[in-house]
Amino acid sequence: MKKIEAIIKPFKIDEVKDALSQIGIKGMTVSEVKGFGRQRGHKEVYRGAEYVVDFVPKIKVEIVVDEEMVEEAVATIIKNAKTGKIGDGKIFVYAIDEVIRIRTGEKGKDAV
Amino acid sequence: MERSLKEHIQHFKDQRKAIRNSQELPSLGREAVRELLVITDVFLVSVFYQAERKWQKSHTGSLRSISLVPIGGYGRNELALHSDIDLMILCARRSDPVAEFVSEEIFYPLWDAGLEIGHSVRTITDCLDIAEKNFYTQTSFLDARCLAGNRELFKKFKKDFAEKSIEGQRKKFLENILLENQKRYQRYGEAAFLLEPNIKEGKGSLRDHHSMLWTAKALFNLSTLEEMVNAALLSPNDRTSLEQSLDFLWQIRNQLHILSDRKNDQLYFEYQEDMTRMPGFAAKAGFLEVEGLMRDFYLHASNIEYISSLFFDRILHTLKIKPHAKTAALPDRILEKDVSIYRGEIRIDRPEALIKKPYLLLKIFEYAARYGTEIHPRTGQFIRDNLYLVNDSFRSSRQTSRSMFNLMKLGSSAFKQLEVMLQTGLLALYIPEFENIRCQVQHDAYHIYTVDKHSLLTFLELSLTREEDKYPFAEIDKPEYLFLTALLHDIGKGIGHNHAEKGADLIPMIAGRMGLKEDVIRDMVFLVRHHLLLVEVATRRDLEDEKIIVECAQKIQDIKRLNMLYLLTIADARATGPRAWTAWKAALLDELYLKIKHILQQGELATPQTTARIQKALAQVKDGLTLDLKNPALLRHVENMPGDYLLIVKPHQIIKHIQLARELIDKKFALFVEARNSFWELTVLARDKPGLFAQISGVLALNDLDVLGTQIFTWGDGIAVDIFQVRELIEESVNDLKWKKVAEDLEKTLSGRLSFDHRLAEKTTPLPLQTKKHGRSSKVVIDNGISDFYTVIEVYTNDRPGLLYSLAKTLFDMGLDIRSAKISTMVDQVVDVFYVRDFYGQKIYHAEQCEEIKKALLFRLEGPKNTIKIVPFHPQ
Repeated sequence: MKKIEAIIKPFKIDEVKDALSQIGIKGMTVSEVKGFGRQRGHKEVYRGAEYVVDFVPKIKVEIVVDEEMVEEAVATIIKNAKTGKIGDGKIFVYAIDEVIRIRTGEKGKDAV
Repeated sequence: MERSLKEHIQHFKDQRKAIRNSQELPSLGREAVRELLVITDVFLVSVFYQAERKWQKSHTGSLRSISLVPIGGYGRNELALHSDIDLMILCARRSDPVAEFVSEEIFYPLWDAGLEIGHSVRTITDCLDIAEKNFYTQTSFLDARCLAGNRELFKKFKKDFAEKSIEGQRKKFLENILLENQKRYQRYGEAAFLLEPNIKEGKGSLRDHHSMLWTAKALFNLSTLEEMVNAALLSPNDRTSLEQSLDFLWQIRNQLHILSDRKNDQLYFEYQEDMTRMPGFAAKAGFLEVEGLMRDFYLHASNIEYISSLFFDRILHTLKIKPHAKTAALPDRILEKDVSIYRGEIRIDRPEALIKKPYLLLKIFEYAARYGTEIHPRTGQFIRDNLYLVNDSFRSSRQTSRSMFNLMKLGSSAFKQLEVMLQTGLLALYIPEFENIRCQVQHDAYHIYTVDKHSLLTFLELSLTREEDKYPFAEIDKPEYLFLTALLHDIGKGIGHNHAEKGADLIPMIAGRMGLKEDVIRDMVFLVRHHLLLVEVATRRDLEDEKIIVECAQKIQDIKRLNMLYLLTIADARATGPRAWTAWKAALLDELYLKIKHILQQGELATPQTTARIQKALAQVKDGLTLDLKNPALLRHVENMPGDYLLIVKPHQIIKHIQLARELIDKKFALFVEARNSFWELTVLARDKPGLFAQISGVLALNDLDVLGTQIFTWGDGIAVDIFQVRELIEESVNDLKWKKVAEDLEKTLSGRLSFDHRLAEKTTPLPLQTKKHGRSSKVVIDNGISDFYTVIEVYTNDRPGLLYSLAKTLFDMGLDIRSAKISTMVDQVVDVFYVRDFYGQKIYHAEQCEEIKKALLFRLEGPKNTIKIVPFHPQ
């Protein structure tokens, strides 16, 4: 099992969410995050007042999928989150030791 | 034949099941409560007597040394299906063997049978001790009654309890009640409980009723609502309406117990939905069923809350306790005829004044807000009794409107009065459209307040932005109208989909009635219609996309409106719930606001006139398309055309471009040449890619074509339209052969088979320009302030062959993408302006990189620095 964590542009979340559920991914965790990568923050000067964007607003999507789904899920995220411009985000894939559904105590594949 | 204990328990359980099964929603209220009480009393008394008979078999005497005392809800004669049945064994002395026997014979079997029975064994002294320590135990003793056993002992307990805990401590008791209510409101006022209210403990819950009962009992020894009415602590109308609301709450509570199959008083989402599927539930047309149910719930809850607040107000006045130290400082004075401040509160001296001057109904609230105080309860009652005075002429009276606007202007100090106006019903009578949103619920986890409450909170949040001195509140011209808009922004909810549109349609009527001017009404309509625009665009659209920002700017059209919309958006979001407003959203909203503002300030693309012109051009283009061009792919091009393109290029030319775009299906580019008076106009269409502009410029230079001007555009779907005005460097008649050569060169360069630098170097500079070698030195200016989306590079230099190519090539080498360019030639002086971004679509923010670009361009234009700067000095 793997956890896929994707940092994407905020306005892309609907497309990514829809595409993921279309390939059968049933659940995900979505959070509003701020940060910067190569894109960096930047300064805008507005009427003399500096408007500093230190951290850029992004969306973090987390899903846990079975090994054989990883490739498809990652490809789906890339396809739907890409604008081709800087700041499109990143995807991280982690190994997951165990998954347990709290209500039933089911473990592993069944709990995903 | 006598029943065994087991049979008693079974019988009791069956009876409870029968109540559970036979009832439909409407009869699950008071009726079920009464029934439950009767069967429980009968059951427990039977069990008690049976135990007594068993006792008498082995002992002398009866069980009458103790009393069996229902306390709390059971004592108060209020039982829901799964309520705890709280019983106390009151005994004369500690370790009474009778008490032990009763516990063993009654309670243990009942517990084993799974009944929810609360149990305690106490002497009178125990009771008094614990009552002193715990306020809620005190209140549960107020509810105590004697079910069986020693009545004398119980009487003594009541007497001792009254003497020790109540008498002489009535004020303390009242303080405790008010404090507990406040704590409870605070706890259950949190987001989770607003969406999934607690029927027993929340605001407007059964507990509000209990607090009234306890207070009436402790302070005045009154036990029922009827006695409270007789003592003038409650009006007869309020009593009737309170009883109806309580009945509704009991229906819901019992039903909730059935659905959750346990004692659960919190109305979770899942149960809200289940409840609408229960027998006897009456759905209302036009509402989501669950929203209809919850609306009823909140209407009843706010009714209970309101009546209980009136009750406590009266008590405080009867006891002459002033809860507000601040208002006591207000000196008594007459505000106008019949209206005064008396002991810190606003008062109408006689009810007839209202009949003579109905406008006072609203003006009273204005006074209360202005002086930061409250309306005397008796005056409040006058107002409630005279609400029939709110008719059409009241609603369109200038005097009332003025009071309303004054209230609006007062901001947060008016908030409290607006709440009272809402509760009394005055607000929905004055603005009848408000009735639709009263207690209107949205069944989701996002909107935690009912719509009326949310509207008032939006008003409050807007006031807070003013108090925080949030930019740009200071620039708002007449804030009262913005405040009024905040109050009305969701007025279209509760009448179907698209509430912003529906609300905007209602505004002219409401604002017109209040006598507002046309231009104010237009702004209000706009704000209501678009109150979601900024949030939607900020969170769902690409803010790097200029077209999107320009479209917003075109909708908004002026900065005054943008400022109002921005502040309204913030207030609306903050008033929606903790999830609706985060620093994250604020960052996106600010970015959008500043970008739109910038575009509006430049005024090129978003003035009302240009917006109209763009729309007109678009319509002309669509109308002018011949049938063969009306296919979806080509229409998509039209939809994606940028505003500046539609403004500058004539519709018939645009249609020509669309025709050309068809050629791109199987060709790399499309070329079109047209003769003008003294020059030629060349149009090239191609899929946009970095360096395209440089390549085309190179071809022109190679073919001895001097560029006089150029307009380059990129359609939203990635097709570049580059238009060049050119003339021949060498006077000769241009013929078709020339354009054929240009087309061939374009084909070659776009396929990577043509390089310019060496070919251009091989060319001898044509004569006419050789003579104009010496002009002023060149200048390059890089500006990031002009546009939020592009870095603007301005080049001032002397004209020369191949100049445009050199500049474009240099920019390409620096990793820059040219989005648009304006070339203007004044005799031999040229000003070229390029709008550029890097290949990642970002502006060039780093000063170092800007400096490098400048140097690269200047080198191209002037050659190595020292050849210009170091001029040999030759003395005469």
